[in-house]
Amino acid sequence: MTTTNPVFLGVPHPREPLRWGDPFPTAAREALDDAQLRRNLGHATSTIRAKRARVVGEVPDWEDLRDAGAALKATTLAHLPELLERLEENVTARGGVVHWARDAAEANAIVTDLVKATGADEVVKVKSMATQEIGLDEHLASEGIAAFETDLAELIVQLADDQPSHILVPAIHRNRAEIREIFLERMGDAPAHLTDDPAALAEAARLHLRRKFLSAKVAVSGANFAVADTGTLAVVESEGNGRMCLTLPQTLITVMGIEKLVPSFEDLEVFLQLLPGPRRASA
Amino acid sequence: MRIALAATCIGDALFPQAPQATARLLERLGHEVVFPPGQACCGQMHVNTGYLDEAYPVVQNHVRAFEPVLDGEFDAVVLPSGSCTGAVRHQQAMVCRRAGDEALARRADAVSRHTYELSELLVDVLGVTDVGAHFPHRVTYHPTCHSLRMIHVGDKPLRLLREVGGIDLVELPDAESCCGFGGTFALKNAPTSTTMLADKVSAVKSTHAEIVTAGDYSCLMHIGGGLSRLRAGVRIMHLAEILASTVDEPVEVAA
Repeated sequence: MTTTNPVFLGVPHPREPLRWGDPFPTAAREALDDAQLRRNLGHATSTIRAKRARVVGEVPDWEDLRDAGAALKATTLAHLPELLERLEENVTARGGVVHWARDAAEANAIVTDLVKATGADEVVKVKSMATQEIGLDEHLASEGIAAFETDLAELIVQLADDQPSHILVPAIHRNRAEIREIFLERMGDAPAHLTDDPAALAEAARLHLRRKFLSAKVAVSGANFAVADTGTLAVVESEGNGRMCLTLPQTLITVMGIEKLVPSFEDLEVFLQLLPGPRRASA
Repeated sequence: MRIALAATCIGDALFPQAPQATARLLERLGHEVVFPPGQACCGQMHVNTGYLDEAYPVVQNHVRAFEPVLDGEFDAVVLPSGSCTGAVRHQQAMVCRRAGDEALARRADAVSRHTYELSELLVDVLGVTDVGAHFPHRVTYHPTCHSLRMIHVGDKPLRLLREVGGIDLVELPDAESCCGFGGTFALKNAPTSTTMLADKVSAVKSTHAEIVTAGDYSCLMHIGGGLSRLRAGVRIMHLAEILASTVDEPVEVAA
């Protein structure tokens, strides 16, 4: 049941990742008339909110944890220069290499050079807002390097030539019937009798991605946290794709904003309780 | 107690019934209400729209009007608004520090420690939930964003409403969702704002309440605008008005 001329109505890729398209009020006026989008978002949002409330309810000191997290971030920002230098020292001591980029153009150029130095012409990626913001995938494509998103929702967005619509839930604007159509038309190796059952869609993505993981020489990740004292980088994920990206390829390039820092390993204790709660709700 | 009333801009210009009811309620509970002259805006509107420099003299005026609380001239300051209370607590000192006036920042902070939103004053300071009110109507309560997320009033307004005689208090579905007002957001992003309002109005209508109440007349103004255009027959009323209503002096519900 494939359409002959599929139209996914995705948002075209912007030239400037942070400044593109119509201004918000204009774009919103148009999107608000999209009944399918409104329905998809309304359903997903109410489901996620209910799940989040349940998950947060399991943590007795949730509000205290949030205050502690805010205080840790404020302290870190107040000591950012020395903490960043400590991070560089500790990453270097453990065999990593730290590159500094002043802006998106510098970051994209550094990553491109690193990939080219390996001789690879494709990379696998674990969901990263930093690389979304700097337009890394588009830059790599312009340099002849294919970037494959491995987070399920990011994969859906990428296959549909679309833009992510939500930080935690990038494909929240798509329903499962649309996802099935996207997989059948764009994935290349989706089973012919694919249904819109969520488990079947996830399995099709898993098989598709497994082949990418096994062949990839280079992975690009973001970072949820970087620990200055230990040089540890942390990515929190729920699909297994992060572990694959971080461990299988020979080269790992992590793009992180300087604000992802925490001073000590114990600080992760706070954030690793805070972050997974709402994230679990979106899974 | 001697309590200073800050009327708020929206209470002064559009909905005087909120500060009036606040004064009536507190006097009925045996307190003395004073209205410091020279009071004006708390500066919230300026700060929320990015006019922090322009907010400085406004904050200066607010602190000047209410700092007699520091000398014991009155015991507390009450605001019938969650968002104005939030501005006093979280914005005023910041505005002063930005203007390089550390002395005023400290005075603003000191005044803010004696400043309470109405439900906070009643429950936390005066230790009362049954205020002797009587209001035989079907009512639903909308927790406004700033009262809920900025100053964390929690269930204090509901605890007060539950004790009101004759009231039929019904839960509002998805109560914690924003009504879409958001100050100038409603003007700058009218389509999105009214879409959010449509959801809020649907939720209010589903309760079959006669009255929707809240601790902020700004949000109520927005919700009331939506309801009136639908001829929904649901009226907006500030929490203070319901709590001020008694058997002997009922608040008029007919529009």
